[in-house]
Amino acid sequence: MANMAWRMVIELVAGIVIGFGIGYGLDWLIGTLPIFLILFTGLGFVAGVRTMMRTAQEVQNMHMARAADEKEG
Amino acid sequence: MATETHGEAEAGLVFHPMDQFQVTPLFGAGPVEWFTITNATLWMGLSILVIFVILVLGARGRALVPTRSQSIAELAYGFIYKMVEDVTGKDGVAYFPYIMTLFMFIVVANFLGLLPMAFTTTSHIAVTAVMAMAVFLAVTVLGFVKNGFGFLSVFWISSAPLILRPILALIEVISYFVRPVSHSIRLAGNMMAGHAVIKVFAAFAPLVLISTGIGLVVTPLSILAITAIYALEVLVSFIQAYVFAILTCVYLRDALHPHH
Repeated sequence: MANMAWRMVIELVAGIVIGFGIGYGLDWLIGTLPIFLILFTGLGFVAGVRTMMRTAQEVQNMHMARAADEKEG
Repeated sequence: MATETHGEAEAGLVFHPMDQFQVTPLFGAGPVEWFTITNATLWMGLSILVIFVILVLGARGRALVPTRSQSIAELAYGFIYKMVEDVTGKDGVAYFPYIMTLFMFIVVANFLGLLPMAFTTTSHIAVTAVMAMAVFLAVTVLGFVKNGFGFLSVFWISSAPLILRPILALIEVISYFVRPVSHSIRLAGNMMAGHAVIKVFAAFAPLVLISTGIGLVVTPLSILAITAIYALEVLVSFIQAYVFAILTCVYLRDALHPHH
């Protein structure tokens, strides 16, 4: 289970970092420093949360499947 | 008095937990360049050799009642085959050789890295990132080949209101790029953390030689801790290889069937 927790933490952080990178890159290209940085860091955070929630859903599905198996067996 | 001995002890202990991850050339000194043969090259080569011995030489007898090495090979094959079939479905079995290759390389490299004095190739983000990027590119290309531009519908959520869809598409694209990053960091991070923790405990072990007072307590404790962490690392080595393989399967499933 610790493994799953690690996976979620990394997904969350990776989302923010990627968003930050994209925003900073766009600002560097266009020269509007804080605007895209803030925008894309926020989007990255949302993306991270989404990925994390999807992983949580996956874990839940796995548990439900296991519980159903146990009931049958 | 107590503080004095403590200070002395700290001066005598040697902490170099990250030295084990240094890439050094095997022959002669000098900078590491593209084709320099380093300890990383050696241990990757050894992993390939071990896989060859297990899977090719071990299973060569093809006995009906398998020998020990043949059953290892058969167990690994059956385990991964069933995983690919369960997660990806029947049409994912065509990509089984790729996933088997990834799994065997990672699991053997992880286990070899646990040997004393060994170099853990999978603790380097350079190694894991190449594998994760290969999976990412392969899966993306496969998605486009199999579904054409329909593959882009992964990013276009048709259940959301029209105004929100471009923003959601942006978020989906970013979360698509989270995959290779988390895929590679998890493996490298897990391997590096475990090995570094073992080294930190190992640095405390010779304390009894420096100051007998605290050392009598700390040395057995640290040796016990090394044993426990080592056992955990054996487990982590296998689990991380399994997680890498199963995530590859999940990404493959998403590429083959993007609509759910």
